[in-house]
Amino acid sequence: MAKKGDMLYAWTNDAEIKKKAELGGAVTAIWKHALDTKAVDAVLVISKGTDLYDAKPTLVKNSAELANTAGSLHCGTLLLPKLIKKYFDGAANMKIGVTVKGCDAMAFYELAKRKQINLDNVVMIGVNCGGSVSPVLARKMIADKYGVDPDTVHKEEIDKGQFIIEYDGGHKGISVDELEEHGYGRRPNCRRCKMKIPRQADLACGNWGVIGEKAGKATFVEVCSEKGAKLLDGAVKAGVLATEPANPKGLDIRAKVEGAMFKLGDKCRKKDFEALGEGKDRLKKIMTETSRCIKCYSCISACPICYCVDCTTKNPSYITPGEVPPNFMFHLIRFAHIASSCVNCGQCQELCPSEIPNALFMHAQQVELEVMFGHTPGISMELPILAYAEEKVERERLHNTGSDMIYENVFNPLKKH
Amino acid sequence: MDFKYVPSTCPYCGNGCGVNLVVKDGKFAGISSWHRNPVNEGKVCIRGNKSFEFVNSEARLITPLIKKDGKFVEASWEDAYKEIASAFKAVKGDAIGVVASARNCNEDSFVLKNFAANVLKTANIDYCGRKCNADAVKGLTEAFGNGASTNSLADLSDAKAILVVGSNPLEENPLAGRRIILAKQAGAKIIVADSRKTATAKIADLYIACNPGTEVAFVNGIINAVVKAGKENKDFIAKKTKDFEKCKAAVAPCTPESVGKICGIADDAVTKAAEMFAAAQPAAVVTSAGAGAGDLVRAVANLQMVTGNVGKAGAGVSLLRGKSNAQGAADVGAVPGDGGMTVSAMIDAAAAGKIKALYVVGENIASAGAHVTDALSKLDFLVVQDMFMTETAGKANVVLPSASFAERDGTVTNAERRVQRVRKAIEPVGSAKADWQIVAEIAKAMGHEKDLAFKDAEAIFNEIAKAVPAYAGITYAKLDKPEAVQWPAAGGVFGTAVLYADKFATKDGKAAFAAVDFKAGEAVGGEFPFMVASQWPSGTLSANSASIVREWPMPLVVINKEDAMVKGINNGDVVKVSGKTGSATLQARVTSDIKKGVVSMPATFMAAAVKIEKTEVA
Repeated sequence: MAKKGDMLYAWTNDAEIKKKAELGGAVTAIWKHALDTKAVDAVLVISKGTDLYDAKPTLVKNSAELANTAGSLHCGTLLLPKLIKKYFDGAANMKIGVTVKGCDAMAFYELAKRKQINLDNVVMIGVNCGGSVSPVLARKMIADKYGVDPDTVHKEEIDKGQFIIEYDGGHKGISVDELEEHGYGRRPNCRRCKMKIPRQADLACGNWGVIGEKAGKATFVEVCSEKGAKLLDGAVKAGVLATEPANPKGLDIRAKVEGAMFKLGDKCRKKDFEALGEGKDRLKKIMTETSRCIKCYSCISACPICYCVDCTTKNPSYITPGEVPPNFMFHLIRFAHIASSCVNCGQCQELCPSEIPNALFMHAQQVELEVMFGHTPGISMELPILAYAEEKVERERLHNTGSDMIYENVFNPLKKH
Repeated sequence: MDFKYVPSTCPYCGNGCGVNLVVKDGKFAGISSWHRNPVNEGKVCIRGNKSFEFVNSEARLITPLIKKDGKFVEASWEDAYKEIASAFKAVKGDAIGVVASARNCNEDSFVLKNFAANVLKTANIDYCGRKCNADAVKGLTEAFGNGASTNSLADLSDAKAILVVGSNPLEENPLAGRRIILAKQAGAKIIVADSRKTATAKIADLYIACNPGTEVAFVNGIINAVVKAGKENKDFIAKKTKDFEKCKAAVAPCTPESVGKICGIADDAVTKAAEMFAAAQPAAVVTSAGAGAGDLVRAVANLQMVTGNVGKAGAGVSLLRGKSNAQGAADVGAVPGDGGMTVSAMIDAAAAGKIKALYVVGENIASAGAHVTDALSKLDFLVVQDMFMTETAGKANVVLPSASFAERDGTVTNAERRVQRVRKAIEPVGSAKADWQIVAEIAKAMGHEKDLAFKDAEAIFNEIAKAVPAYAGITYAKLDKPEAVQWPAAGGVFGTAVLYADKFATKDGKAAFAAVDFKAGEAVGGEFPFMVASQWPSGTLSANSASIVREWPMPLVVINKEDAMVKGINNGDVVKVSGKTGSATLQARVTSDIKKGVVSMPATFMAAAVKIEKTEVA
C-alpha cells in the first residue's frame, strides 16, 4: 500500500504504452488507469501538434488515445491551469487529471486559493522540469548552432545539462549553459525557476534518481498526497503499473540534481535581478520597457493570478480607454495586484508582442516581497498579502481609531482610545 | 465534453499571425497562443486576441435578406438567388461591377473573379485595396517586378537601420512592430517620419514630424543627400538597376532646406536621417497604407536601390498590408480585367447612372463617404454579402450572410507573401456560407453550374496554383507546416523569404528607378486649416468586438493640445470634422503627440484639409 512520502521506481506493463512512452511510461499508465476506472472524466495533457516543436493541450477522454500524448516536449512553454479556469469552469463539475510542470502546479494552487479552481476535482501528476524552450527559437537554435535541419529531428531532450537532439543521421548535444550564453536555450523565467520537483502535485514523477538496472526504464515517483497514493495503488492492483522502492543512492542523486538546479536558479536570479539595478534605476528601466505596451491584454489573459472580470486596468478613472501606450499606471496595477503571488510562469513575457520583460519585473518584485512579508506563492493555500484583511473591515478599523496616521495604524496598530 | 485547438490565421491585419481557436463543445470559446507559428510566435494584439467576440456577436447576419418596401425581410437562399439571378441577367457586362474583399480567402476572390469574367461577362471587378495600397502594389511591380514586400517580416530584426514612413506598425501591425523592436534591441537605428508621435514614433532614435502627405519629398530628400555625399551604392546601381539618372535628376532640387519647408521640419532633419540610414547596412524601409498613391513606394524603392538595399535579409521594402488578404486578393486576380473599372471608377460610373448594378462582397465601401452612399442610392440593384449589416449592406436590395474565418476553410496571403491556412473550427452561424460557395450557387442559379463547380476550398486552391504563376507549386499539404509557403514556392522548402537575391522579376532582370516628384495635395488654409493624417481601416470587425469597443467606443480624431485649447475642445468631446467632400462626427483625443496644425482621423472621406467644430452637447 503506497503512502504519502513514498519514493518509488515505477514502470508500465502495458505493451502499447511501453512502445511510445519515455523512461518507464508510468505517467501515461497511471492516466490510463484513471480514465479506465473513471477516477477522472478526462485528462488534460500535452501532445504533438504539427510537429515536435508544437505543443498542443489535448483533452483525452478515451485511454486508447493516450499513447499519442506520451513523452516530453521541451518546447511546451504553455500553462495549463488557466485553461481549466477559462474553459472547464474551474473543474467545478468534472474530475480532471492534468500533467503539471512546476509552474503549472504553482498556478493551480494560486487559482485554487482564490476559489477559481476546485482542486478537489483535479488530480495532478507533476513532472520534473528543467525548463522549456520557445519552439521557434528552438528551431533556429538547431539550425544555427547544431547545423541540423530542424525538420529532420525526431527526438529532443534536456539531460545532464545538455540539450540533446536525435535526427536523421545522428545525435548531438550542446550544453544548455553554452546555448544560453549565445541567446538560445530556455526561457528566461525557466532559468530562474526553483520549482523543479512539483511536490504540490499528487505524484511527482521524473527520471532523476533512477539508477541501476532500471536506469532509462523506470519513472521515479514521489507520492505527495493521499490522493496520489490511492491512484498509484489502483494502477498497481489493476496490473498496468509495477513499482519497487527507489534505490537509496538514487534518492541522493535526485536530491543532488535538484540542489544543482536550485544553484543554477539562484545564479540566474542574481544575474537577472542585479542587472535591473535598484531604486530609481530599476524604476526607470521598468518604465522605459513598459512604455512600448500596446494593450493587447495577453499578459492579463495568460496570468494565473489574473481573473477579475472588472479588472482595475479597465477602470477609466485609472487608465484612459483607447490610449496606446497606456499610462504606466496600467503596469503599476498589475504589479500591485500580482507581485506578491507571482509564480514566475513566464507567460506574460513570452506572449508580449512588445518584448517587455514582464516576468522579469514581476518576479524581481516577488522575491523581495517574499523576504519582507514571508509569503511564498504556489505551495500552499495561504492567502496572499492582499487578502490578509477584508477591505471593508480594515477601513472600518482604521476609521474607528480616529487617527489619520495610516502607516502607524497598519504597521503598529494603535490601541483604541 | 469536447475541447480542441484549431490552428488558423488571424483575420485582421496583413501580418497573418497564427492563432489557435479554442473550440469547446462546438463553440468558438476563445483564442490561445500558437507558439509554434513562425510569424508571431504565439503573440497577438488585442484584435486577434478577442476575435471570438465578433464571430459570436449577436449582430452577425444569419439569413439572406431581401428588401421589400424599404424593409429587409428574411428569405430563403433559393428566393435570394432567384432575385439576384434575374437582376444580374437583366444587366449587361459593362453596366455591372463587382467589389471583392481584402479580408476573406484567396479561394473566395478567385471564384469571384471567375464569376465576374465568365458569368457576368464583366471586366469590372476590383478589391478594396484600391484606395489604400493598390497603387503601392503597382509601384513595386514597376520597380522590382513583383507587387509585394521584398523581404520577410522576421528579417526586419536583422536590419541595422529601419526607416518607417507612411506606417505605424506598433499600433496597426503590432507583430511587425515587434520585429522593429527586436531590431532596436539588437542595436539598429530606427527613423520614423510621421506627423503624429505614434507608439512607433516613440521608439525612434530619430523622429521626424513630417507633415502628412509630404513623405515623398522627405524620402527624395534622403536620396539626394545620400547621392550628394557620394554614399550611393555605385556597384549595385550599375549592375542591378536602370534609369538611375532619371531619379537623380528628379531629386536634385530636394535639398534639406527645400524639403524642410515642404515637410515642416528642421533644415538638418533630412541630413540626419540620410546619415543614419546610409551608415547602416543592411537597412530596411517599412511602409503601409500611408503609401497611398504609389508615389511613396516608388520613392522608397528608389532609396533602397540607391543604397543597394534589395535582395538581402534586413533590407528591402516591407509593404505592410492593412487586411488579412489584401495581398492575396490582388494576387489571385480580384483586379480589373482589360478595360475594366476600378472601385473608384465604378462608384463614379454608378453616380453617373452608367453602372446599374453592384455585387459587393465583404467590403463596407460606404465608409468611404457620402459620395459613395449617394452613388449606391442610384443603382438599380445592389447585392451585399457580409457578416454584418454594414452601412453598405443597409443600402442593398439583397443581403447575403457570409461565414467568418472561423467557420470555413481557405487560405490567406500575408504581407510577406506567406500563404497560410484558415481552418474551419465551428459550423457557420445561422445559415451563413463561405463566400465562394455563395458565388458558385449564384452562378448555378444563373445557369452556369459547371463554371464554378468546386468540391471544396482545396479544389479551388489547386486551380489557383495552376492559374497564378506566383502560387505555382503550393498545395494544402505544404501549408500544413506552420512555416507554410512564401511565394514563389520555387525558392526553397518554405518558398522564398527574400526576393531578388539574384535578379529582379522585371523583363530584363533589372530594377527600375523612376522620377518621383512630390505632388502637393489639397492646400490647407482658409476655411480648412488642418492637415489630415489618415487612419485605416474603418472598424467593420472591431466595432463588433466588445473588448475593442470598450477601448474605442467612437472613432477618434486626434488633435494637438494647443490647437484644441484655442478651439475650446476638451479630450472626449464630440466634434464635427468637415472637408470639401464630406464630414464626420468623431470623438476628440486631445494630445501633444501630434503636430500642431495636423489632425489624425479615419479615412471616412478623402480630404487633406479639414476644419473642426464643436457639436452641441446633447
